[in-house]
Amino acid sequence: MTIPVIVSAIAQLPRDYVVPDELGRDLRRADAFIQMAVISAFAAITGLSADKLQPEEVGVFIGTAFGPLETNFESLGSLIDDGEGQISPTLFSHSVYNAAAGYVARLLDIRGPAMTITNYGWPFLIALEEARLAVASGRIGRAVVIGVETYSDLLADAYRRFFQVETVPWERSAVAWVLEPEGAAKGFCCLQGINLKEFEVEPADLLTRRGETMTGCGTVAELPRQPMAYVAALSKAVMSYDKLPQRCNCCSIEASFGLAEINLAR
Amino acid sequence: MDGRIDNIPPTLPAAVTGMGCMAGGGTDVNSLWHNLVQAAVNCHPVPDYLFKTVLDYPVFAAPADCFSERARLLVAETAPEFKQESVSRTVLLTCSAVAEALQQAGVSSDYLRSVRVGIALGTTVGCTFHNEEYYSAWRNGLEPDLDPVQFYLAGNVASAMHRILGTSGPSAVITNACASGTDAIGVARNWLASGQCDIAIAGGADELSRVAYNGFVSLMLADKDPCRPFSKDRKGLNLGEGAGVVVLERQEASATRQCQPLGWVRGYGCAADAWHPTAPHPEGRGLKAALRQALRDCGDVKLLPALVNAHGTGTKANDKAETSALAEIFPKTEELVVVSTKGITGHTLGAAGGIEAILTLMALRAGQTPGTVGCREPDPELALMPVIQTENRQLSGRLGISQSLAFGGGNSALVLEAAS
Repeated sequence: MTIPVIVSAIAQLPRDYVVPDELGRDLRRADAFIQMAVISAFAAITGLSADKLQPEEVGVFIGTAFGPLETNFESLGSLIDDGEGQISPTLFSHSVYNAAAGYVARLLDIRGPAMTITNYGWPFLIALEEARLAVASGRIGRAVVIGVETYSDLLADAYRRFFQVETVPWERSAVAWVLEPEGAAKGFCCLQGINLKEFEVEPADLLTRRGETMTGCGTVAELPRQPMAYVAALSKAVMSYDKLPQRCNCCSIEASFGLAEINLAR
Repeated sequence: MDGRIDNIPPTLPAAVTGMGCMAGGGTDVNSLWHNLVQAAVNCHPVPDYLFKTVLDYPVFAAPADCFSERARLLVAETAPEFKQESVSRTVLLTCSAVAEALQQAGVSSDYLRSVRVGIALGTTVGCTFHNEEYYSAWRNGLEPDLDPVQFYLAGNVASAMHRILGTSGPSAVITNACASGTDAIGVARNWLASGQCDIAIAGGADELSRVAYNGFVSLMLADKDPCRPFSKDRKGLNLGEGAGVVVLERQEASATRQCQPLGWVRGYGCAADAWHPTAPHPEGRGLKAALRQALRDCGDVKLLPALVNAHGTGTKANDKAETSALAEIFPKTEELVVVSTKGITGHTLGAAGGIEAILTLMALRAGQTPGTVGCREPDPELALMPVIQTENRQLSGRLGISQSLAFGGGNSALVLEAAS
């Protein structure tokens, strides 16, 4: 059983996001990683019809390279400063990589699969493909797919020292897509499948993203050297898909660490 | 439900052709099973080779050298330049489990390189940067050597295994906390069913870390004695470490290789509680949804499993929520055989789902299960009575369930069948 899957909504969150009033209380203790995941998901599903969908028929899929890294370090700092057995319970529970998926599920009442995938290359694409498979199989009727990175000061310092530069090229960001079965909603385009190949590279290449390019959907572009650039570029391409003068069936992303093909259709 | 999901055909099962583990409870599948049968509990204070602590919460630690001879031989063939010190303990644990599983499956490295290999592994600690020395130095304004950062960036356990094995194909590290290993097996089964890979290596791995150890202590979820899942006097969990991995193939592929399956992954379900960051829903709402999904997925919503290998951590909240959910999904509780194996493995976090799927299949293949090590007097407030340590229960069938609950409200379940 394979159901055609469409991308029905996309929301991108800027680094200087604002917590919506209706989420303020629930997110008051959450770190930026959790907040950005929740707010981007909230923005993506706002306005979509929830007719006939039970909470168990909606899933959340998160792809991240670095997860809640800053909170991990704060937990470690709490252990060092406060002593053994005194680590902050809130920090510790928020340092777990799937804490964001748990928050998204709770605040958006999503009770289907909640999956967090961690990969340094293209974690959003892996999460997207898992979500597509779940919708295509009929197991769920809607998937919220989130790419989110908030990095950390330690990582930024390591980057500057690795490459002898003053500033890091990244800033925190989050993007959420919604996938649904074709016919259930209007969409930008069909997502037919994603093929990924990974190559062995020097670890530092996963930070520099040197030479990462995207081809297709009206673009041939070297992407900005930061881990969320491919998500932003792909989101832009999909959102303008119906305005393309020519049919484009494949977006390709190439990098030193791999090759990704995202197969799309009207 | 509106019936839409109920009409979905079952997913193609995946054949389990190999199993491997390296854990505090046993250094391979047979020793782990033997220790479970014998109720031989390897729960001790944290050994110095892991980290130093003044706390006295015991753990199930794998041996200091957790890179098995079998793994050394495999890696010598697939990655002669490999250096043990270049990867994390989590990766070494994984290598040992993978080597055993591949050997049992009769899969050569040449074969692996000729097909698309999916590697799906669950972990929690294994994906974090927890080099305390580096962090402390950096925090104090120093500029420590950058090697630990490179080590961290090279440490994605699924990518590392592809690199070590020289394989290509789908790769995913699932970080769903304590349900990660179960989800990884479900994800790999889905890859096989949808044709994304020809063979899959799936399970979970986690090393013990000082942060996780202290985190569970601060949450008051750890026990100072060996854990007692489902017991009236249970006081919490013991952490453990290890890796548990299965080799999965499509039925026809294993037949072509003339490999006799050990069993099958027949169903998988995953569902969120949508409730609380660390506590399970009191009635196991998400677990019930995951179980229903797994039963639908295996094509038998009325299945009464011969065995349920529960998450059974030994915390008050988990054991109560879990048994409540099971009693609602399987109302004939007097016929339901429920055990926890954490009394012999500890809670291995991201590895738990992998290790427990293996122990479930071992019990189903044996046609009997040892009782829950550590449980002598079950909590009468639980919604069902699990099998206690002194019992050995014959199983009435070959289909069972292995299930996991997680921080973040994650729940996942596998329906497993043993080959006859």
